Amino acid sequence: MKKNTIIAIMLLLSSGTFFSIRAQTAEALEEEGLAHFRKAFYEAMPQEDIAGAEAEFALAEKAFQAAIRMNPGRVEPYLYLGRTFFVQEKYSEAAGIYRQATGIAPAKKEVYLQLASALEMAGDYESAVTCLKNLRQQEKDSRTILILDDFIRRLELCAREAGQKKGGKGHE
Amino acid sequence: MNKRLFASWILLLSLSWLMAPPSHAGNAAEYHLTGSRVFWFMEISDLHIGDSGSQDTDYLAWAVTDLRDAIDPLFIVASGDLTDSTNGGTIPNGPYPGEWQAYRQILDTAGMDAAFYYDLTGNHDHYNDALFAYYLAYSIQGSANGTTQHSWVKTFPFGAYHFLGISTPGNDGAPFSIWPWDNYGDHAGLDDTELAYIESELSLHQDAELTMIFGHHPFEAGYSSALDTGLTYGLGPFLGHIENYGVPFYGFGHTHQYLENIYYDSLSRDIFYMNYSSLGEEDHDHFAVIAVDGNGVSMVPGQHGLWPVVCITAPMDRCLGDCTNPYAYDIPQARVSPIRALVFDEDENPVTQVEFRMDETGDWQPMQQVDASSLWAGTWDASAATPGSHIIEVRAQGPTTVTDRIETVVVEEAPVELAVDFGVNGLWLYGDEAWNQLHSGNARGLETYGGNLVADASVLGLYLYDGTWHQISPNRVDGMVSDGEVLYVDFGSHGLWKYENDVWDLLTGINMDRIWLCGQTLIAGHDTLGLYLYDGAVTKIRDTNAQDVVSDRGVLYADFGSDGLWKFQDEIWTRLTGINVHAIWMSDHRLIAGLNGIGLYAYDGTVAKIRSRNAEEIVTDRGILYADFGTEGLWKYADHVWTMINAGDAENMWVLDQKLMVDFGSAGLFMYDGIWTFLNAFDADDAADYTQS
Repeated sequence: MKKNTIIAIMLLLSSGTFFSIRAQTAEALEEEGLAHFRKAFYEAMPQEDIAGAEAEFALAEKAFQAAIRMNPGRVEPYLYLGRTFFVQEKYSEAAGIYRQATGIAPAKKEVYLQLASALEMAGDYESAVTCLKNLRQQEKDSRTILILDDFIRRLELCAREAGQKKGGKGHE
Repeated sequence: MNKRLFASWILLLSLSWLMAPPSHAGNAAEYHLTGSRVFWFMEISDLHIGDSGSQDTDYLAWAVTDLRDAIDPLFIVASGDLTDSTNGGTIPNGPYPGEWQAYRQILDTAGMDAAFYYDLTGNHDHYNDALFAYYLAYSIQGSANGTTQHSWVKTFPFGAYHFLGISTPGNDGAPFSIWPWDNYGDHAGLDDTELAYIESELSLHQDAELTMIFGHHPFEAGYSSALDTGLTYGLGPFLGHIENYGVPFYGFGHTHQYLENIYYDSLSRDIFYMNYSSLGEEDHDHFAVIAVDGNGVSMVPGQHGLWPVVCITAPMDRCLGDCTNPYAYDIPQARVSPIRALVFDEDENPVTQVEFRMDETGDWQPMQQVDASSLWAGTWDASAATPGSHIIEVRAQGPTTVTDRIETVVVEEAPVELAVDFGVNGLWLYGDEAWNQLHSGNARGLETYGGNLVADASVLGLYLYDGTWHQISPNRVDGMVSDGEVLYVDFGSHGLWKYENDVWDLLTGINMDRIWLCGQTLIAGHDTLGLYLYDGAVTKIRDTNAQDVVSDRGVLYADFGSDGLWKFQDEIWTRLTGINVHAIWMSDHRLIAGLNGIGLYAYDGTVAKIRSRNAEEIVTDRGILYADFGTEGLWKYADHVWTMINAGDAENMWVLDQKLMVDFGSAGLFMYDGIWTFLNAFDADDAADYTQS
C-alpha cells in the first residue's frame, strides 16, 4: 500500500471518529438540556419556584444552543430549545427557533403547528394564519382541514381585533 | 398446622358469611316505599379554564358556589379537561401555570376540598405534561393524594356506595396534534398500572351497593362526532373489570354533549354510559344531577340560569339511557305507589308547588316536601292501572315551570296467597279472595319451604303441604326457622337439624334453647353453653346465650339482657349499650331497640329516639316501619313521620308478599296496602307465604 493511501485512510478514519465524537457530544448536550428542562418544567414550575425554574431553564437553553452549534443539521435541539423558550413565555424567540427548524426539516409538519402556536402567543396573528394556511394546503384529511379552518378562522378574528386595537398584544 | 392455627382457620371459614361480599358491585334497584335511601351528587365536565371568550371561570365559580348551594350535592365530580391548555389562545400547547392557578383559586375561594370535589384528568390537562405535574400540583384530588386516579366511598345507614375516578388520558405527554394518524395527540388509554389500581379498588369494594366509575373519555373514538377520540389501549381489560365486578355505570365528558346511553358491546350486562356536556364551553347542559334512590339511578341535566331543576327518582325511568333501561324495575298494581322527585331551586326564587300526573292526561296531583329537603313525594293508586307502560310527569313551579318525565311499567300484581293458622279453627289458605281449609288441626307454627308449607303439628310431628300433606318428621318441634329454601328445625333433645332438598342433616346434637335465622345463617343459643353460629359448620361465638338476635348485611346484633346490647362484626363483639333493652328489631338497615317505659330507639351508627314508648311488635316493608303500640294503635313510620293507620290493638302482624297482615284478635284478620281489607273473622296465630298452589 502506498504511503499516500495509508495517510488518506488514516485521515478518513480520524475524521469519522471526530464526527462520531461530535455527534455523541451533541446528543449528550441535548440530554443535559432535557434534564434541566424537566427539573424546571415538571418540578420547579408546578411548585411555583420561579427562581429555580429560571435557573434550570437557563441551563437548558445553554445546552440546547451548544447542541445546535455542534450539529446544526439535527432538528431535535431546535424543537427542545423552542419549547424551552415557549414555556418561559419567550414566544418571539420560540417562533424564531421553530422557523429555523422548519428550514432544517421542512417535511416535519408538526413543527409548523408549534411555529403557529408561538407566533399566535407572540401576538403575530397574521404570520400564524399564514403558517397554518400553508399547512392546510398540504393537507388532504378532511378532519385535519376542519381543525385548521377553525384555527385559521379564530386567528383571523384575533388579527382583526388586534388590528382594531392598533397592535394590541392580544392575549394578556 | 398446629391446633390453634387450624381452629382459627375453621373459625375464619365458618364466619366467612359475615365478611363475604356480594358477587357484584351493583345491587338490584328497589322500588322503596320511602325516601330514606335517596342521595344525589353533581357532575360537571370540560371546564376548559383558560379558553378565551368562554364562560370558563365564571361558570366554574358559579358551579361551586351558587349551584352547589342550590343543589346541595353529596359531592361534585369534574370529569376532566379542567384547563384548556391554550391560555386564551387557539392551539392547545400548555400546560400554562396561569390556567391552573386560576382554576385552583376559584376552588379554594369556594372552599372545595378533597372530600367533596373530585376533579379528574382530561386530555387537555395532559398535553406536553407526561407526568401530570400540573394536575398533581393544582387539582384538588391530585394535590391531596398525589395520584391521578381516585376512589371514594360514601356510607349511609342503607349501605356503602363506591365511586372511582379514573385517568383516561395517555401517559406520554404528547403534544396536541391536528393529525388523525397521531390520534390528534390524544393518546388516551389505561395502562397496566392504571388498570391494576382500578381492579384493586373494585375488588376492595365489592360489598358496595353500587359502584360508579367516572373518567374523561368515551370508551371508543367517534362517539358523538368523527373528531371525538376514545381509549386507544386498555379498553378490553377495563371492560373485563367492569364485567367481572358488575359495575353498572360509567360517566364521562370529552364530547361536549349530554347523552344518556347504555353500553352493550363486550358486556354480558349492559351498563349506563352517560356523557356530560361542557360547563366551560357549551350553552346548555352545564351540569347534571345524578340521584340514587333505593339503588335506582336517575339523572337530569341542568343549565345556568334555568330553575328549578326536577329529577324523578322513583319509580325508575325504564327509558334512562335506552328503552329498556336494564336496571329499571317494574311496579306492581299496588294501591300505594310512591312517586318521588328531587326539586332544586334558588333561595330567591323558591318553588311554590310540585305536582305529578299520570299518562299526560290525568289531573295534576300535589306532592309534599319531605322534611323541608329537596325531596318531594306523592302517591299514586296503581291498583287500577292497566298493566304496561305509563308516563309519570313531575312539574315544579318556580320562576319557570319545569317538568321531568319518565316511563314506568306496571305489572299485574300476583294475587295474594297466604296460609293462615287460625288456631282451633284450623289451617286455611287464602287465594283469589277466597278461603280454603287445608287442615282442621291446630298447628303450632308455620314456615315456608320451597314454596310449600311446613306445619308444626306438635306431638304428631312435622308436616309438609305441597297440595297434599306429608309427614316429614315424627318428632316434636321446639322451634323452626326458614329462609324459604332451607328449613332449620330444633327437635329439642333430638338436636338441631337442617332440611334441604328434602333431606335431613343433623347440625348438632345440642338441645338448643333458641334459634334465629340471620340472612342465610343460623344462630342458635343454649342457655348454659352459649351462642353458636352455623354456616356449614357450627361455631361457638359467645359464652352466653342471647335473648334475641337480629342481623343486617352480615352484622349481628344480640340482646344479652343485663349484659347489654352487642354488635358482632368481623369476628369482634362490641357493646353498643349496657342498657337492658326489652326488644330489638331491624328496620331499613337500622337497629330498633325498645325500652319499656322509656321509648323506641333507632341505631345506624348514631342513636336517635324515635318514639317515647316501646312497641309491642314491629315489622317493616321496604323502608316503612309498622309498630304496634298496643292500645295506642298501629302506627306507620316513614320519612321520619309517624302516622296512625289503625286505632285497633293488634295481636299479631306479618309482612307477606309486600303487604301488611294484621290480626286484630276478635275483630279479625285484615290486610293493609294503603287501605284496609277485611280478610277473615277468625283470630290468626301464624301466617306464611304459600306460592305452590
